[in-house]
Amino acid sequence: MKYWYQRPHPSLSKYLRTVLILEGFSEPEADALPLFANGMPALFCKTEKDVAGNEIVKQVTLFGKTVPQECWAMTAHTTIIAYFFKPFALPALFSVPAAVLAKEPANLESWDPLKNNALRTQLTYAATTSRKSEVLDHLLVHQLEQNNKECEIIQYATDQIMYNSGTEVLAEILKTLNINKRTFQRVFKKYVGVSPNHYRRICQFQFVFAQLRAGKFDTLTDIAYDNGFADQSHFIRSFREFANTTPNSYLRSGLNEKK
Amino acid sequence: MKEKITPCLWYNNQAQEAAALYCSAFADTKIVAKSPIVTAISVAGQSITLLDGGPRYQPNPSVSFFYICEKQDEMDRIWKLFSKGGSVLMPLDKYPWSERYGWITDKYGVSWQLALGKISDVGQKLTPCLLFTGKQYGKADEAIAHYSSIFKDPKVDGILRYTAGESPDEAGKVKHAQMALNGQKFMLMDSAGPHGFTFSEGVSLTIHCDTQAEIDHYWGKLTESGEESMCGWLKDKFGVSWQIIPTILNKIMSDPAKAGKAAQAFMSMRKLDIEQIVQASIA
Repeated sequence: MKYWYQRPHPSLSKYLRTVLILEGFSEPEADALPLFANGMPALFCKTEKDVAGNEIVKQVTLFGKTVPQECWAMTAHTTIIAYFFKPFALPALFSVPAAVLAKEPANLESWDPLKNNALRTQLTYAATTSRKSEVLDHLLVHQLEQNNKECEIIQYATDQIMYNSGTEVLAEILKTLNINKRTFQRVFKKYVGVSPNHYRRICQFQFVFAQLRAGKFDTLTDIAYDNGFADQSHFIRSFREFANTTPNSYLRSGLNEKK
Repeated sequence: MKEKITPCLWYNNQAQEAAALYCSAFADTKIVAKSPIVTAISVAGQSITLLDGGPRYQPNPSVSFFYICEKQDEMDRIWKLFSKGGSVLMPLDKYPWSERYGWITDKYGVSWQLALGKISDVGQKLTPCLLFTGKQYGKADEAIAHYSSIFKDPKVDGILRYTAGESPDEAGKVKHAQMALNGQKFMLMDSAGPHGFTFSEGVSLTIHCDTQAEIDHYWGKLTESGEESMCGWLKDKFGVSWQIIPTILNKIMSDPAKAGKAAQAFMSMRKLDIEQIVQASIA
């Protein structure tokens, strides 16, 4: 067996501690494992050449804490590449909650089976160990880019909704970002915790409430239309939902009187 | 590949084993391509892709395959082989629509409706059949209209409807419909029973596209009220999984020097981009 540590890809150095690579090339030596600081979250990739010389992907797994001993077992045809991460990195890169990973490792095939098929294809055709580690580097860089893109989408969307919380704003955001509605809803919920429309209605209520408190209006109908409500009854329903009272009774007696 | 639309079945590390079973069961069937992830078979000239994608998805009877046996002994052979470890949904028997018919799920979860008859009865030996159950129940009519608006040369061959007294199915819902899209046959059925399965990635339909414009067309139309997934996969408004794939990808993926690079390119894509995949594969 041969092993070495590899310096992480420059754009990943913020997230990675080190990369450990093991290649089997003679009889297995079970107790000759290198000494390494286990107990760190890791992306563990094990491949093996079959008799026909095809590279078979045995395992690509995210471990929250420790890579179990049995994973390190090797034959003469095994290659192991293990990326050891800084503690915060796995949830950020793979959107798997740390608490979930701490309990149970995640195989990439259950994390995202479609991406995993593409990854396995790449590993299968990566002839050398250095090609394999390039494939895994690319996966991590891609995850990082995708997360950054998602963050930008959410930042843009929440900003837009903050400025204009009328009903038409969501359609405008979809158009500007050129993004599928369901995809947008999924990403939004992942980062913000509520659906885009729920968030919009919260913002809308905040505006109304501020306007009402500041006394900047002639009639309640004006407020409703100013803030993009279709009509007065939508306005009252929304107000009741978030403030647990009606606009009129709020004006009379503040938030204490429940209606 | 001459067919526009081909089925893709999802296995957990058993695609090659399953392909061998199908070759021994079906007449005129052979393996036409083999890689660690994808195995392709040709069943009487019709292509099926078998994908080793891991344990996350399994095929289920929401998409089954109506298979016409012209000879009794072929039917008996298939039934016997699929019975091992499989499960029978409708026993081999005489039914109003066929002298001899049976619905069986093989041990990998793939569901087959075997019918003794003439290929000319349907027009092709193997026909995908979509079963609208659960939340999708009653949407077969809508699906016929939806798919007709998307694919070329849509043609409805016939619709048989439930009548009163077929509870739990409602009168008027689609008992059985047969249609053609791009010259290929499909069947659609509503079924109200408590099936406990619905459309999934376990059985998907691949559309092979020659141009980016074609990919854009199918991707745009089928994701309407549906959902984009990764790597060219999507779910339409009924939850049916489709793969919108450039025709040239088959050739690229069978070249070991190109396959890995192409896969690296499409791993980050939702809708596939032909130009980018081709460029990456020769880089």
